[in-house]
Amino acid sequence: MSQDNRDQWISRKGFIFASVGAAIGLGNLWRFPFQAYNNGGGAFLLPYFFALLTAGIPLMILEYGFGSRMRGGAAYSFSRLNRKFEWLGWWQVMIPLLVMMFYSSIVAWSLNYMVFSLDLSWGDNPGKFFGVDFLNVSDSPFNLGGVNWGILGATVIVWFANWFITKNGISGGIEKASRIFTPLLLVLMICFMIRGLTLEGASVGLNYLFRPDFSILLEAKVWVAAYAQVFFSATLGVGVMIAYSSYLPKKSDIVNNAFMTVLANSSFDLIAGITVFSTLGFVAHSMGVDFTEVAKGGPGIAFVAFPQAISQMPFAKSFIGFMFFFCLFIAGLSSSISMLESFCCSALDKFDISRPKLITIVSILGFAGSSLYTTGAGVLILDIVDHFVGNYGIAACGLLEAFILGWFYNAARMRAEVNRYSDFKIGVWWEYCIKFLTPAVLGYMIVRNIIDELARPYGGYPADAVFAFGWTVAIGMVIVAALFMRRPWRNEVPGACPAGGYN
Amino acid sequence: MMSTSAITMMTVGCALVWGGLLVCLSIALKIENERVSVPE
Repeated sequence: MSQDNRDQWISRKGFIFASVGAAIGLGNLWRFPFQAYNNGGGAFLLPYFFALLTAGIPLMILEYGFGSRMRGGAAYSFSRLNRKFEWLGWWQVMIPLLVMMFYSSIVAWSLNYMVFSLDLSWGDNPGKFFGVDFLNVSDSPFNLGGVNWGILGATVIVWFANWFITKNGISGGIEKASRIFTPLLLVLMICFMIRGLTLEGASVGLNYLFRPDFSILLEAKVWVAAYAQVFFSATLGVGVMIAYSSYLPKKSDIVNNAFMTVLANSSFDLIAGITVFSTLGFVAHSMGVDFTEVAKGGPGIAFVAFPQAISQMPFAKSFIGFMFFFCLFIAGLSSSISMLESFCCSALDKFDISRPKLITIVSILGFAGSSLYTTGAGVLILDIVDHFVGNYGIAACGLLEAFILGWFYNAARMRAEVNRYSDFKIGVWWEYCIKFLTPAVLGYMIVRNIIDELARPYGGYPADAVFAFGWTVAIGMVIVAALFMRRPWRNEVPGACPAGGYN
Repeated sequence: MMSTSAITMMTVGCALVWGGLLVCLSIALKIENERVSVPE
C-alpha cells in the first residue's frame, strides 16, 4: 500500500477517542496522585500546569504535526527527514513493544481480579493475597519460580483482544474499539469518583492530596517530577502519536486536537487522583489507622488498597469490584492497542507484509515475551525493566525527538505547517519550548537519574539483576533499532527535505 | 472536613483542566458547524 493510499480515521471524534484512549492508562491511576502527594499536594498543580503548557501540549503538537506531515510511522517519518535519523524512529517504536510485554500481564491481573471480585477472594488480607497467593513473588529476579497459569491464561486473552482489534486496521479496528472504550472508561471513572467522594473519610484523603505546601516549589525535584508526569502520562516520545496522526486526512486540525488530547488526559489524572485518595481516606478511616499508613503508590493501589475498600463497602461489593477491574481492563486495553500499532505502523511502512500477517507474528512473539512476566519473578523483572525503559529510553527518545525536529526540521517551518489548517494558531512561544525548554528539562532529568543510579542500584536489587534486566534491555533496544535500520525499504522513501535538513 | 486551601486547589485545578477542555471542544464544534454550513 502506498503512503497516499493508507487507511485513515473516519472521523475527528474517532481520532480523538483513540489518542485519548492511548494516553489514558493504568499509570494515570497510580502515578499522578502520588506524584502530587509527594511533591507539595495542591501546590504540585502549579508546576504540573506549567509543564502541561510548556512540554505536554507543545510535544503533542510536534508529534501530531510530524506524523501528519510525513504520513508514516516514526521510522518512516524520521527516515524521510534524514536517513541517518531512521534509527531514532525504530528506537521509539521498540519501547512500546517492550512495554506491552509486561503491560499486558498487568492488564491480565485486572482480568483475574474481575473474577476474584465475584466472591471477594482476597478475604481479610488483600496485601498477602496479592503478593503471596496470587503473584507468588519469588525472592530474586533470577528465580523464576514457575508460571502462574491464571495470569498466563488471562495474558492470552489480552493479546488475543489486541490482535483482533489491531489486525482490522485503523478505521475498522482501532477507531471502532476506541469509540466504545474511551467514553465508557470516562463514564465509569466518573461514577467511581462520585462513589469515592461519598465514602466516609474521603475528605481526609483529599486533604492530603490537595492541601498545598508552597514552600516545596523552590526545590528543582518538584518541577522535574511535574515534567516527568506530564511527559510519561501523555504517551509522548514512543511513536504512538506519530503513528496515529499519520492516519489523519490531509488538511486536518493539529493544534486543537493536541490541546484536547492532553487536557482530556489531565482531566483523567485529576479524576483518578480524587477517586484514589478519597478511597484511601475511606480505608484509613474504616481501619482506624493514620492515612500515611495506607498511602503507598504503585500497582498496590489497585490490587491491594481498592480490594480493601471494596470489602468494607456497605453494599454491592462484588458488582463494584467487578466494574472497577473491568474499568482497569478497558484502560489497559485501549493503551496496549496503541503500543502494538506504534511498532506495526513502522514495520508495515518498511516491509512487504500484510497487516494481519504482521500483527499475528508480532502478537505471538510478544506473548512469548509476556510469559516471562507471568512467573513468580515477573513483578520484580517488570519493576526493573519499567524503571530503565521509562527513565532512560523514553526520556532520551523525547529529548532527541525535540532536538532533531526543533533544529533539523526547523521549528518555525513546523509551526507554519501545523497552523495552516488548525482551529486556532500557536505563537512563537511554541518554538522556544521545543528548541530549548523541553530538551533542557529532559536532559537534566536523565543526568539526574544516572547520578542517582550510580550512587545506589535501583530499588535495592542485586547489581547483576539491574545490569541484566535494566541496562542490557535499555541498550539492547538501541542495537535492535540499528539492525532494523539496516534492512532495505520495500519502496524508496521519498526525501521530504533537502540534504542537511530545512535549515 | 477538607481545609479551605485544599478545596481551593481542587476547584482551581478541576476548573482549569475541565474548563480548558470544554473551551477546546466548543471551538472544534463551532468550526465543524461552520464548515458544514458553508458549501465548498
